[in-house]
Amino acid sequence: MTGPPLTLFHWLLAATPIAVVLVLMVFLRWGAAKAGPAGWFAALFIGALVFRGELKLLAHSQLEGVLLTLFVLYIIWMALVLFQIVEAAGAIQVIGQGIVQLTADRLLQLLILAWAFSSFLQGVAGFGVPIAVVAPLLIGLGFDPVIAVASPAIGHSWSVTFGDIASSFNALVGATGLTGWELAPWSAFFLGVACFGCGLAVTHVYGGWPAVRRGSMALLFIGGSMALVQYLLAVHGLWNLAGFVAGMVGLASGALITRLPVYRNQPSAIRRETTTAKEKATSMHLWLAILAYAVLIFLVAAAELWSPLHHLLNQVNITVSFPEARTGLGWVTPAHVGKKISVFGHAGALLAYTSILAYVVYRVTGHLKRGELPGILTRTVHSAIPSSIGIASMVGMAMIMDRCGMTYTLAKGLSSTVGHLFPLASPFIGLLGAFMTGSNTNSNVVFAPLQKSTAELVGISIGVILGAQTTGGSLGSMVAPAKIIVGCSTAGLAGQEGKVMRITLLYGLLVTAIIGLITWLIIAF
Amino acid sequence: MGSSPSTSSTRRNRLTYQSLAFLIMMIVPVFLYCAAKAEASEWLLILLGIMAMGMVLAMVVS
Repeated sequence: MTGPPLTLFHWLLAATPIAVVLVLMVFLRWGAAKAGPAGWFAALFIGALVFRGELKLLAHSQLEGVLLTLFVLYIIWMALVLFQIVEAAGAIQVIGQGIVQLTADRLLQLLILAWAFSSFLQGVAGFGVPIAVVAPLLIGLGFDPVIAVASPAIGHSWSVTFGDIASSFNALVGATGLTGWELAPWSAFFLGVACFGCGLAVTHVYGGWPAVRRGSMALLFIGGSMALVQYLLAVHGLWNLAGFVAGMVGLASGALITRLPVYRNQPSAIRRETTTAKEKATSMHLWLAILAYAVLIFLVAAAELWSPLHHLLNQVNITVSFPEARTGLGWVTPAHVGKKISVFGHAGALLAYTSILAYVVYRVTGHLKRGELPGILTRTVHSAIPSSIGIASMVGMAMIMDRCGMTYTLAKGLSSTVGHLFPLASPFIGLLGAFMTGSNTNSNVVFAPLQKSTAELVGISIGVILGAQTTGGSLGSMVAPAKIIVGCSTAGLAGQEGKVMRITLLYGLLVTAIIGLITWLIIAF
Repeated sequence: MGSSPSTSSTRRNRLTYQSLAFLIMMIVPVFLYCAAKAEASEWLLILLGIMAMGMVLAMVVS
């Protein structure tokens, strides 16, 4: 396989679609539904004219994009339906009051929800669900909407690799041909470091360094327990449960830390908010309010862990086979099967079952009135359509870039330019993949073989480099437009994704740089 | 607090056009795949043009 020449000209052009999206969203504050198509056009023109992607190849790339888009949108649409049902029933307000009763400390509320709870949700659901669920809860608690979306985006990102029953980690294993035993220790180590980085970032987003100083005890306790549990499970072969259990332990640690005297003295402003929240109390019990999410957790866990149910739900799948494709520059994409969508076992389907159950329960208990369903569905469509356009166009862009060899050119250029500093760049390559595809899994599939080959050529530890790759890919979740769009759409911030991305991009790059530095130090010494 | 009828109508129109653009993005690639399989290059060009129009529509109305 030859592929595109590695020149500065080709590298800059390969980077152009990403630069277009970034500049439009971050600096010109365009929404994803507008910036995505612009990036798609840039990728199409550059892919066809410079990287010589033929019409047939471009056509295949777009259908593959549709499969990936459907895979993501299935969850987003169903998560939105569930959220609209729960909100219409008044349950979101009740859950908010429950957290306020657990602790009236705003910082702890944020850490428990945006860091521990979102990591737990990533462990059982993933695919943007943590942001989609937590952002509205934080808004309900009175947090600024931009912080409400940025915090869970940052807070859950460390747990993506081992989250969702370790789907991204299993992709890393599959893409590299190495065993989980070889890859788990370094991956769990780097992700553990990232766990502290994400907690620190969430705290800093909220209140700067004074908040970090005040929250240091909680950061150490919650972060230490989550990172340690994930590491121990991963190195003992239980990587499929590592993210899920670490999130649970994080929640328990968060509840325990609220008992510390340092977090029991609340400033007067918080007391006022608590009083206001009590004034808004509804007749719904807390258990009924959280029922929908408890059912979701139960269903996802059962569907993943209980083999007979897993087998039963995953019998009907949609997928398409793609033949080998070659660009005019010799870049070959081997024949392969596109993204598989399990109609009844997909996380979106599980959200749909939960939505139906939640609607019936809230309807029977009188918390939803007759005739509210059309309103719920209309609100879902209103917030989902702009987000769906953004995702469809960006996935289409990423697919063109991948199939035309533009992504490969970018990664190769990055690794060969930095030379012996390659370990520093390694997590950034993972981050780039996740940014473009919105998925740690895709990042591992696309970039892990390249990173493995480069590590072999340079003669450095493959395990360390691949650990850094998947950690970068995991952290990429906080900057991936596809996930930011999900959060913004559920938080009523559609069209303002740029504001959130300015925050997540800064912290995402900082935490990734720390991982890169540690990787380099491990390799150097 | 309600919105004026003209604002509501504009929003509805915008959603209709956005839905149309989204449908184009999701459906046209299926035909693109079929055209590629049938080696119909002229249809590939036409369909890619329709896809591009869908993207332009999305940009204009978003």
